[in-house]
Amino acid sequence: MEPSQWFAPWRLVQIALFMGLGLGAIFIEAAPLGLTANAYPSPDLLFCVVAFWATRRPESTALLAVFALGLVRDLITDAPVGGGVLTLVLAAEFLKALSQGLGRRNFVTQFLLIALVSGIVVLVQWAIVIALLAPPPYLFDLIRQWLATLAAYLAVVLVFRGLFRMRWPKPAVV
Amino acid sequence: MRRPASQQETALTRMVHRILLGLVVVVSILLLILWRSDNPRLERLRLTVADALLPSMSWFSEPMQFASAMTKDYRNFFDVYNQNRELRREIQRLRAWRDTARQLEEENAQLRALNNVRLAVRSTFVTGDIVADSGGPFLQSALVNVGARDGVIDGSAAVDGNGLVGRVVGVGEHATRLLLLTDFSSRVPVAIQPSGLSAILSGDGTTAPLIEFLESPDEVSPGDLVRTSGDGGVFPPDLPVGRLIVVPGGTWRVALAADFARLEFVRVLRYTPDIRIDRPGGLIISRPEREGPAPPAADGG
Repeated sequence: MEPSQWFAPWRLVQIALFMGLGLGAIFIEAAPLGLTANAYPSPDLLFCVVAFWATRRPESTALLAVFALGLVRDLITDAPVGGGVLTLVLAAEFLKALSQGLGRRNFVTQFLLIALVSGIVVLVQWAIVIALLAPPPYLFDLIRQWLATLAAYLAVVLVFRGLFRMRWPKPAVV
Repeated sequence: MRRPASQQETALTRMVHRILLGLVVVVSILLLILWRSDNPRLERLRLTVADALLPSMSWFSEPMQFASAMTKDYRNFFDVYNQNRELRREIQRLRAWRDTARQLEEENAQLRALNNVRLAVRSTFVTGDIVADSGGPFLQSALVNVGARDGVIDGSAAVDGNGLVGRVVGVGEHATRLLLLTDFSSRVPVAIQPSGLSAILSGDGTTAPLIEFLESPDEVSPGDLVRTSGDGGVFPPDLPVGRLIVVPGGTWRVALAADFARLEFVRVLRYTPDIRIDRPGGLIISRPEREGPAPPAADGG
């Protein structure tokens, strides 16, 4: 992307839309639906939104927007502040880098890659908590959250494709 | 040889992007260090964000809670007429009790006045809605829509209709963060009745927190009542916590009295402990600082 396009109106509108959807995902994620210790963990909806946007609209998945959303999520949901945002930003950058090639693959391959990245995000967050000598959550709960996130990603893909007609970016002309 | 302008611009974009990414990584690591060291500034930032986003969060949480409750209670939904009748009957009974209680209270007050009895300050409370929870597996906490403007103070106990739920660990202007009893870092001093033994209730991420530092396990038995002991002066004494259970392996745990599955509102207690003088230092009355050096303390107190 050229510097002249940094503040292009179409890009700013897309970033605003992305941030609105991200905030909505955080609020849904934080809604108090189960306060018992054995309640099913909420899916990482923000990751789903960011993963979808980063692969379909990499040019409007602004680094600072992802950082701001991740930080708000960490602060609101009491996740280890900094750990969630760090893994989210790195995952978004990785998926942005793969977006061109990923569009040419079938959906199963795309989904498996998202599942792999989501799994790595969860594992890295867990490792960070252990490295900082904080009490780590049970692995069983993390696996349940990962599975819930994968199910939520499918829902996010269906909703966003239906709502915004978002398709894969066209391959770059060489 | 000079590169074309478009290539230079792309290189500039890439460089700016790399610098930003590096900055974001460094800031994230710094935030992690602040989080781990329980920095109060981070807690203030957390509550500031919560204060700012609280109205927007309610738009999402209320319909979702409503839908969730509808799904959970779909059986009750069909039984709503009978429930309504039962509730009206209950209200009639409670009204009769209320009148009796008022009469007794008046009588009690007159007797106290006759005897010139001075009572300790009673706890008052403020009720709030739970508008958000941690959701993820890392922490068991909740956000409540009452804050400093409602008189909530840090460390206060939060209860539901049945028993203790957790304690306040952060207070914003309009929002309060509660650490639930089930969280890994929750520790509450408790007393077990009828033996009167003291112990620590220690959250471990399960629905039944652990009992630790119990001196004589032989003197307690499953089913014993567990209440707050009031040690440390943070919580009022005698708040119901739950009942003692023993799990395979001989570990003592507590089946919590609070109904976490239906927790929508909590009462945050505004409790001021009695002033107890239990050591010589307690006899020194603190005064506002005056200008000039303080006078030397007299021996023999």
